[in-house]
Amino acid sequence: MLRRSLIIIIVTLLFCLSGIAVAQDDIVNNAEARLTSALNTSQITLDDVTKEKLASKCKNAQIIIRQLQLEADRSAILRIKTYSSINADLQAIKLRTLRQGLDSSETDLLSGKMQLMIDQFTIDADKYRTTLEDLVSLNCAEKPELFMAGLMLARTQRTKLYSEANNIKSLIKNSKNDIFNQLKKRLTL
Amino acid sequence: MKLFITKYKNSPVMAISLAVVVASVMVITTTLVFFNSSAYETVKQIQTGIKTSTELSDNLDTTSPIKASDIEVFYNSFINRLNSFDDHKDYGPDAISDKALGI
Repeated sequence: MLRRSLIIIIVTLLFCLSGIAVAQDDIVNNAEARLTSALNTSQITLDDVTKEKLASKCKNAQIIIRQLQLEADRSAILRIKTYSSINADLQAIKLRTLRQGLDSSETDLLSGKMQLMIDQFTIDADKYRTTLEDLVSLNCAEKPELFMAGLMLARTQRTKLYSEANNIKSLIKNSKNDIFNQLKKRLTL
Repeated sequence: MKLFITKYKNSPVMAISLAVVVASVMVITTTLVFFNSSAYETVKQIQTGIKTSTELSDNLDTTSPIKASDIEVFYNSFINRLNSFDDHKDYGPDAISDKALGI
């Protein structure tokens, strides 16, 4: 009885460990597939000297990228939370204005635009995080070209996020005259 | 050890305990795999969104009359919240340049 139980435990442990290995392997394989796709799109070719240089230095770069990933996660969560709170305030303004029998279609439109931008930002922040994660999990010493392709993709995604963050800020700033001042006038009448 | 084996060899309590141990190992393993996967990060982001929207809808005043001065307060608050972020620090190109990564 006990011997049989011990065998079951050992088999279960082996099964669990192989499960972890399969899951880890799956993450690495998916990461490599995404980075290979990035490589095919960018069509990067590195000469032998650059490959060697990259292979020797990429391990340290991965440590920095891991740090960037953690910062990007924190920043994205905080930004999504803040943008959503602004949009909720816009909805509140719309509802309070409507209750006073005033037109609030511009506020509604602004809120709709804001929501679209938040959704896009959320998707792109997730893609950026995934690319950084792929870069960290890659065996970069063996595959420096994939590493470089992933790095270029991460840079493009980061630039896109920079531009999206700026666009959200501009959307609200530029609405001062068209929406908020108009609303103030209506409320003053 | 031998005494222990002899004593509990055919005990159902032993069998149940072993089953509990095996089940615990499996649960711990799957939990660890989940927490190490990218799915967990996505779940965290979704949870933040849901939590935020619930908190906001609970605390927001959507019924009281609104004045022109309130709009100014709202607008300034939006700008302050947006200006609290440093876009260049969060998403500028410097942090991910070759120089910053040492490659």
